[in-house]
Amino acid sequence: MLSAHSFSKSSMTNRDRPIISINGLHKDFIMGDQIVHAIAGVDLTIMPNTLTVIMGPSGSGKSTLLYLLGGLDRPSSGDIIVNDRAIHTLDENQLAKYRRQTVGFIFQSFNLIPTMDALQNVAFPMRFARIKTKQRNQQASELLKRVGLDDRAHHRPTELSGGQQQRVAIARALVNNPQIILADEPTGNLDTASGGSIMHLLSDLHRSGKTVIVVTHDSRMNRFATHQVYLLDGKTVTEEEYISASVLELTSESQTN
Amino acid sequence: MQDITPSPNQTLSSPLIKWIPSIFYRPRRIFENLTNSKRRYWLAPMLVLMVTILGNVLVSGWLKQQIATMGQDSLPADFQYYSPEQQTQYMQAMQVTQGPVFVYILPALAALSGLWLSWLAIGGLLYLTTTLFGGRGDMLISLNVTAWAGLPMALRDIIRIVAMLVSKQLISHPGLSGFAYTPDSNSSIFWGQVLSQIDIYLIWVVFLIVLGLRLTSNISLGKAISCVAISVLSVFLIRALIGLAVAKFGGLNVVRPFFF
Repeated sequence: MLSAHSFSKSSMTNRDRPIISINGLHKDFIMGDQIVHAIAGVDLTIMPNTLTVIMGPSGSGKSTLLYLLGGLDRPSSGDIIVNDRAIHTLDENQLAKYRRQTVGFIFQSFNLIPTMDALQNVAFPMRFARIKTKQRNQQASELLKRVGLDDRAHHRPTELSGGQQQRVAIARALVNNPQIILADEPTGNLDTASGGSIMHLLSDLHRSGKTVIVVTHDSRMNRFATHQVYLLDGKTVTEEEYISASVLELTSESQTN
Repeated sequence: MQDITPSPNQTLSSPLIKWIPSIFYRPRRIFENLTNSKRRYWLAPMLVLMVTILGNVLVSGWLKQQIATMGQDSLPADFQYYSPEQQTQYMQAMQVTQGPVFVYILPALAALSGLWLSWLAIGGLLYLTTTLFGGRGDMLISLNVTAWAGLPMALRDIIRIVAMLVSKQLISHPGLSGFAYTPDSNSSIFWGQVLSQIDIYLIWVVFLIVLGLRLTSNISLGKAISCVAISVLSVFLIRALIGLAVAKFGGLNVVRPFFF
């Protein structure tokens, strides 16, 4: 079984129980007459308070894996256990609760609500947690301060730079104090400097005790990672296999050109 | 003491107007008048209830439009998971529902038809149950009692209007509905609908119907309470079911916001 554990940079403490266990995970999509195996048998364990970077070329299934972990999609088969809870068996309402309480999601395209300012965007998920407006705004303010945007609280997304929008999205992901932060290409739409600051922010979250899982193409993120997972064609592979596959891909591309 | 008994031919005249405040502090006298005269006296209280309901709809509608203008629409849970394209599509669809037809006319029609149908149903069920329990049933008197006993709801509407105007906020969880707040579950929506109707004014209305029924139908207190419980509960459950259906089918919900 391949696992994030296998690629640990630092020694793991065996007494820790995994926060996420994935066993025999498959996700198939039907496209016309074809069945696409986006995830083709992934086994993975992720320990608490780690920063795991999932890398792989486009179409390798890394975003699909993240969406399955976030309860935004359902597996075709296999188990996903998060905090001893089998999330693949949850119904819609339970999944909504899981998304609200256990995970915070950061998207490449930020997914900020354009009609709301930064403060309202951050406070938005708390509306459904039955928290009073005053408390919501206070908490959202504190989170904006934490991501360095307290002076932009009343700016709408269109009035913010890409990096600032992603910071707002990170603050929003933290609003219900989830244990797990899932980031899907968080630096994908950002310039190098903004991307770098987002990586530092994610690293800070990890250091503050969160379990952070980042799907990215950006190899700079590896600098902050405690674990790396490589995906190829919907399967986890070793770093060596991933590198040799990347070299082969580059060679075939240059021959084609 | 001034005599407030109307002449037999009156349907909505000065003495009847005087009955309206009297129902709040001298209800026994009003119900005695209803029993003695046996005429259609339900129009005055129903008109009062209609006016306050329309006032409620107007103020709620105005606030909804204000909130929508400020971009604070009541967005669905997990809206942050919608992609930017899905968010845009949802908001465009929401704009359609901000017109006067959706904000004022349809809610007003729904509220008024709810009032009249509930009144007819409770009045009819009261007549049926009092007859079954051996009382001196009379459909006209049951309808009169139901209409006059419903006037505390007008007071509730007035208080809600004032509260909304002062706070500039909609009343999101009326009655005890806050206890059933889980937006994703059908049973919670149903019980939320039931509980939203339960408040101090309902207890007041029930008390007035029981009092009116005892005086007009000559049945014991226990039987009167049973008749009212059966009638009011039945209508509440039907209203809650309709509310659930409206919430499920009338809401602008993206059924598959993600991938499954």
